[in-house]
Amino acid sequence: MKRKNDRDQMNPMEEKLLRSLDRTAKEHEKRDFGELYARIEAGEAENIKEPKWRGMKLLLTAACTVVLLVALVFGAVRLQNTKLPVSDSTQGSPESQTAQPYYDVWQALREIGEKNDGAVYGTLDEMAEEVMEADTGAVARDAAPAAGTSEGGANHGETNVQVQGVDEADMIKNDGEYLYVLGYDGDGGRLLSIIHAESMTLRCQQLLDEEDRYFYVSEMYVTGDILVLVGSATKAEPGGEPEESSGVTKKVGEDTAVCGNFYMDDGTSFAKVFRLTEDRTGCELLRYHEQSGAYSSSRMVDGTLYLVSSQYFYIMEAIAYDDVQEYLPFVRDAADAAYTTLPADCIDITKNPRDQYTQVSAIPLIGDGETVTRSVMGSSGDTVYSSTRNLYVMVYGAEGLQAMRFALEQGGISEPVTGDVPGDMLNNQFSMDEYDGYFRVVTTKWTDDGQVNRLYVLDGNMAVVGESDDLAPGETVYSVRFMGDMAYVVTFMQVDPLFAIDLSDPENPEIKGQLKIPGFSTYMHPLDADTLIGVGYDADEETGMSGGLKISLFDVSDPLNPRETDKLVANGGVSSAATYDHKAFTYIVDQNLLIMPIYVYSSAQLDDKTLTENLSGGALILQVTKDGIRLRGTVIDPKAGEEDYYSGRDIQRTTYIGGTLYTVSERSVMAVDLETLTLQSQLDLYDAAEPSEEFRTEPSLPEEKIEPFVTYDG
Amino acid sequence: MEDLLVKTGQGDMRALKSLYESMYSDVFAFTLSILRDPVAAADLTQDTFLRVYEGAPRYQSRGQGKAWILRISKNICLNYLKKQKRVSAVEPKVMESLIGQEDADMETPVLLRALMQELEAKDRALLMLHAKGYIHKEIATIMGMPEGTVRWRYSKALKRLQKLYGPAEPESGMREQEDSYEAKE
Repeated sequence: MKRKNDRDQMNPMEEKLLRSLDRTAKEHEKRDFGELYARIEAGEAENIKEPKWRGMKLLLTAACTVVLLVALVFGAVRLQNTKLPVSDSTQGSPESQTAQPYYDVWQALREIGEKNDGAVYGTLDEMAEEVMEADTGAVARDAAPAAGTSEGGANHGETNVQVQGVDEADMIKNDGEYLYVLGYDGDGGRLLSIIHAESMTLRCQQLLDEEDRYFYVSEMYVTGDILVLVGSATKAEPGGEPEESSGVTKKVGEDTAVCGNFYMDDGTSFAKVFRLTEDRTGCELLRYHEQSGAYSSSRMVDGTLYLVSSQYFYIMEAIAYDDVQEYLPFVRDAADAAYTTLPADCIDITKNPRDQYTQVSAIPLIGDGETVTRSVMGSSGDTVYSSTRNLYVMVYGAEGLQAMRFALEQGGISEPVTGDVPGDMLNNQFSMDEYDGYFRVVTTKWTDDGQVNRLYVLDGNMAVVGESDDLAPGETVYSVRFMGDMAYVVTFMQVDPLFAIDLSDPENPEIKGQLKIPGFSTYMHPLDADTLIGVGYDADEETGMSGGLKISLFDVSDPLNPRETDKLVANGGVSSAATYDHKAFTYIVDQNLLIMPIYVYSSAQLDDKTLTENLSGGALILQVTKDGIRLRGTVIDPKAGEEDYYSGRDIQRTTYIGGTLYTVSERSVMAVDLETLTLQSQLDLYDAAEPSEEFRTEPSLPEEKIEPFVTYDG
Repeated sequence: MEDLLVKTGQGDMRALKSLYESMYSDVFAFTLSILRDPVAAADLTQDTFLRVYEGAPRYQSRGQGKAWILRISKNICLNYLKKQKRVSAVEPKVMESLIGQEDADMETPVLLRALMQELEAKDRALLMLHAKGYIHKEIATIMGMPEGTVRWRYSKALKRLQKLYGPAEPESGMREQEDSYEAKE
């Protein structure tokens, strides 16, 4: 179903380079299985040091002893100067904590280092969880923010968020007058365009990359005249001198050049807060925040930005207290400031910690309030859910999932409350919800008998108080939507069971009804309290092979008997970003219109319309009410298909202002009359063939004071 | 792949041989990209398969066999580098042996040299895994970093090379680059 893999977009230079790289490797290959066989025969495999790691209970129990012994030896040798009582072992006394504020962190780091020392399978045994993490992370990012439903008949589109009142970042924002678009220039540089929607003219364009380090703006927020850019960067040396992240300044073969940053992840995440000028041609930097760890996700609640990052490091031996500094999370509040490590009282440690941190910051967007950063050492994860009162990060602990709850307090955040959640993975952010003081989550656990999917209810202390029966053993969860006292879960193997789960008694979640139909929904959108729109794929009932795009209408007014009341199936190869990214789903309430981008990879029949092959740059417009789904038409970028390998004209998002629909690709914005579905105007954001110099300015947004972007007169 | 790992776990030598043959090239290329030393890379590649044989009984089939093997490989490389660090600095000759292999057939020696010279191990490994056809998600699993990080590191590494060495263009451009390379030395 995946229509493009990461490699399809390679340019010729990449291909050449990668080919010659591969060839060099091949030239040096010396494969001789006989030699390996001889080593095994000689019993070498058995002689390999057994991994000291999880699953070996004896060693686990002995771990404390080891640490204690090491602490003793170490203490005797190394810590005399610090006057740390030698008898003071893993727990840490108040005395030791005064002398060594990071004592607890240190102990945890040493324990991890001990385990990893020389262990080939060290991180390996954890891989199962990390695999899931990678999966979930990807889904969460993909499925994260975009354009969408406006509630209550607002006159312009807003990002289709999971929770009312909790904004999610996206690549486009629409404030009713301007469209803000994060795209790329012809060279892959990140390009911000601000477009006056009515006149379809550019107010400004700005390249956001920084020259001297990796700097990637992932998403943004716009609220009033505040623009927030969030994303990932690499650590830059204090004092503004960029860290040389390559071997250029290092001698060939020098150790650091060889090891590079394998041991320490130098990734950071940032938030840049700007005040836009009234005519949107310039801006002023109000606030800068950077924290260690790559960007995971973010939310905006009540004028405060919550930024979540995941930091990885490899610690491969027990370290001395003096070395702790190297492994601490850090922040800074100006691009030219030095990084400061987080104070010890802002770092919590999970049980059985691993070499990862999760950082969460609360950044006030207006006013002079302080940014608050908290860190949890031991695990990380990318899947974030937030209500207006609590932000939850689902992380992968040593023994499965852990939910961390941070209370949002008046622009700040509390210490996290952490609890174990049975299961190994969850589908995406929609698998989580908070209602009436309870946190609800649908997880999947891998057992010898296959997958087990369950819904759990946790109280405010993150303790499980209720759980459902197993939902469709062995099947995969494709989508979840919570609606107050009800939860709807779609699983899939050959047919799509839609489960309706009654949560009115939090301690006894009860599966009320289920509906089996061909295909599966990967996103469910509530039309009203009794109706869900499902977006997903059709499938063959016999084989389970998935087919074309399918949009379903579910009547859930009777939980005992959910029904599919209408459907529209593309008979052929059609996919849509809305199937994996809720932000690509737009529903205009007062016009009952559902709009989503489509991509046609083999010609398809949709109702009475034929969609031709290789159609990129298309969007589908459907009339969807309680009574049914009707195809209104399609919109196609007339310039799509001109380029051969990657056009950049795939529509990523759609939004609207009044009666005008806007479609946004990396390359182009189209304005379409919603009534007639005719193209009114098109604005190309760059010309890939010949990048126009006048679109370029200095490679980063002004750090100092107001500095105009390149502007365009209407 | 999964089947082979399970059988290897049961001590089936033929399964191990198949694994070895199908994965050798990937493992070797990966270790080479990290170590830049073909001799050490060959040794550690064999060590990797020894550990695969040893660890296979505990492998839980989750459709990630290739990543599982390359993760072992990465850990072996890290341990090796750590030991090297303790014993002595890595010998500076290792890279020369690769660059020395340039010949007329090599389409982009300058780029290859650039890759080996200018990028850090992590980025070299990313590029090599790409060359071997791994997608971002798999690379994230192997390297133990978030997929988003893999994505931008990869694109930025390429951009960096492109900037330093320009589009893979005609001879003159190449010579110029080689000169500047000499100058740096």
